[in-house]
Amino acid sequence: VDARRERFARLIEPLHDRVVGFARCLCRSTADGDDLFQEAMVRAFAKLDGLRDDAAFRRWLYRIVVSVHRTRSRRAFWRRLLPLAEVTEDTGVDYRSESNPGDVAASRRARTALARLPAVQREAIVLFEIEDWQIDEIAALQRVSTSAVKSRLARGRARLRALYDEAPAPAVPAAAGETP
Amino acid sequence: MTGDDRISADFAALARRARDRVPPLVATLAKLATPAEFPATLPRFVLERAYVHRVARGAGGAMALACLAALLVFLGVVEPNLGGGAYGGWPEQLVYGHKALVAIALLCAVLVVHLVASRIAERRFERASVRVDPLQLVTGVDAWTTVLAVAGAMASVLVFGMLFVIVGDHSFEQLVIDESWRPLRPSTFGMLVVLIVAALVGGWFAMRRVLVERPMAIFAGFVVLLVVASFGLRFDNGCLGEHYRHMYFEEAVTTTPPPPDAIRIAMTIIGTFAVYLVVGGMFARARRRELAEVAHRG
Repeated sequence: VDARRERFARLIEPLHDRVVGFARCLCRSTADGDDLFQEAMVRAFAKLDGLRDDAAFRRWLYRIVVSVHRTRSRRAFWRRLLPLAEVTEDTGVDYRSESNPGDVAASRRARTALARLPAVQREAIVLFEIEDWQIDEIAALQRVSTSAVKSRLARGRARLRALYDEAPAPAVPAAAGETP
Repeated sequence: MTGDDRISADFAALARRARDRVPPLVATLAKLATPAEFPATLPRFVLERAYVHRVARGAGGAMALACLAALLVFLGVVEPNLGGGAYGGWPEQLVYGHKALVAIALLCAVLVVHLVASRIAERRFERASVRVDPLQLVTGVDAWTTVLAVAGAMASVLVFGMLFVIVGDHSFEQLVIDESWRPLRPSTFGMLVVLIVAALVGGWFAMRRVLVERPMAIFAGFVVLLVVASFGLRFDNGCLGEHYRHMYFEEAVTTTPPPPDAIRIAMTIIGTFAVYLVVGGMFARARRRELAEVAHRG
């Protein structure tokens, strides 16, 4: 077990912050993102012995994050019935940022819009736009064809554009808990 | 600034903010644990709760099996006319022709045993955990409580499914009452026993292997159950509820002919399989929640 823990620590170290960021971008709040990340880490650690090629760790780990995200999205389908304002709050945890208020408002806008996309589109958009993954990498991760990924990206982007048109920037105030 | 530019700018801000105040790697690693690493000194109340729930579920299943065995003996040997109609006064009227009451009595018995077993398990845990590793206590009861709980639930549905769906209460009328009781004849009685044993074995494997990984099977089972129950009601009440129209509106209707034995038996098997998925999956989820809680507290 110690050897496994050491191996996991060595593999996760260069990716840790990026994967946390990825998980947070997928979720409606930072706290949800941290939960998703931790759940994915527990699962990855438990299945680490099944990973034979360390070079494939990055894609393997992201796939687990995506898998956990899908499971959680299905499990929390009832949250779609709640107003977005309620579920995007970072309640209960002090996540006050060092970043400027503009970043807070902008990230909140992006998060709110992303939360309205289907899970597969959200994953593709975040991987492509934020994580800078290539389309063929996303296709391999989502186990679909590249044309399917392109379609998801195009539809997701169109939906985001429509959402931004519906709710212009000043209409989304920053959450009280997020101001620095 | 165009819409696309705003989206890109917001994404850049989201990326910056998402990587802000990231918990350190050490904290992530500290929260990792596998079942083999659970420390022996987990919080007692977590283990106690898992132990009590498991024992109570197992005892409830055992009670259901015992009641069903008694019911089958009663129907097969003593009085096979439970669904034959109530023509006497109280208490005959309360019992004969009211299979729902038997089901409710079984449910009450199971609930009472569940409560009593919970109390007993609490006390036993208190005493035994002094000399035995509490975690070992919890894992020690896992197997038999799982099997008993799943088997009890499945056997209940098998027997009551047969009574309600196959035998029915009204639709086959007196003309076919003998025919409708055929499943309780010795050969079919033997088949029921085989099916209940199969339920024990199947429940074990379902809990251990399949449903833990595939919770969607629970919903699939639920859908199958609904479909089978719908067909059962169609046979029981007649097409479009003609029995009730006949009863309440005194319309002259033709009673639906009983379905062939093979269909009725197949319906019971399919319905039982569905319940095996639903109930097995529910218990699997409960068990997984307990494990997750133990891991989390650990």
